[in-house]
Amino acid sequence: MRQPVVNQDLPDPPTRSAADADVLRVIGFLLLQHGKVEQAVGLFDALHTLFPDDVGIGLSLSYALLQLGNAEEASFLLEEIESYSDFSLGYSSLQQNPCFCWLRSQAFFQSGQSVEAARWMRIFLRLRRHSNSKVTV
Amino acid sequence: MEKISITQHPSSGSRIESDSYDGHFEVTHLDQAGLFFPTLVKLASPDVNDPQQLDLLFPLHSIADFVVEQLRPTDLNTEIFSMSRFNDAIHAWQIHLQELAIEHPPHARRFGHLARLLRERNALFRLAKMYSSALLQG
Repeated sequence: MRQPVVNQDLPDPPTRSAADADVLRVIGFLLLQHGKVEQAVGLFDALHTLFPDDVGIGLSLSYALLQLGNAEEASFLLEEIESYSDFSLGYSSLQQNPCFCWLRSQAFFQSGQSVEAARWMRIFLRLRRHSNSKVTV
Repeated sequence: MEKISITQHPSSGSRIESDSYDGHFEVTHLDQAGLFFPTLVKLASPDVNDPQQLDLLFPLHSIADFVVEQLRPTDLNTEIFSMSRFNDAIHAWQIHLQELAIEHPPHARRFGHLARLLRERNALFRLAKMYSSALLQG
């Protein structure tokens, strides 16, 4: 099993800027869109190691892990993102980000925690009702 | 010459009308301001009490589509979609990842995995090109 990303022995800040990762972000997104989930996990896993504060990369990795059925690691990662994220992609907090809430819901659901899953799904639906097409990631 | 007009229809959004056909069409391009996009709320049947909620179901095919859409990278520099820039960027990343793998053995497998993925440069570029074309076409 793949080891979860932990905050120890992280590489030094990359000599490349986050903007240089754009090409990799696009490739990762396209891999997800085309169902190449294992490759997407590999890509976003490496990117998350290099840019641990990037919420978009973290959420993309969580989504890919859930697509592979790896709810445990996705949950771990979502909690990690929640704990150290100082920004939330244009939302007032990560809990206001519908994508984050949906991922939380799916992670709980896949782990068999249906009560928590339902709670996060209700939050997702409420947020989506209020911010239908907000795309900020 | 036949003229085709696109008009708003109260129930289905829009329709194309034509009176005759002689083998030639004249398509009249309308100003963008005049284009009609069906208002989703009109798709609600009369017995739906909360058309706003129904409205939410239509912009994307499913919740998963909505979520993936949220993960789409934004504020991209579109120059990365030119072949030379794309190849340069991928090549630079391959070298950088190899260096990182050597410098940080605990993460070597991760970086090596990504570096191997990037070997498929041509296939990745085709994918990226399709994506940029789709972006240009809205």
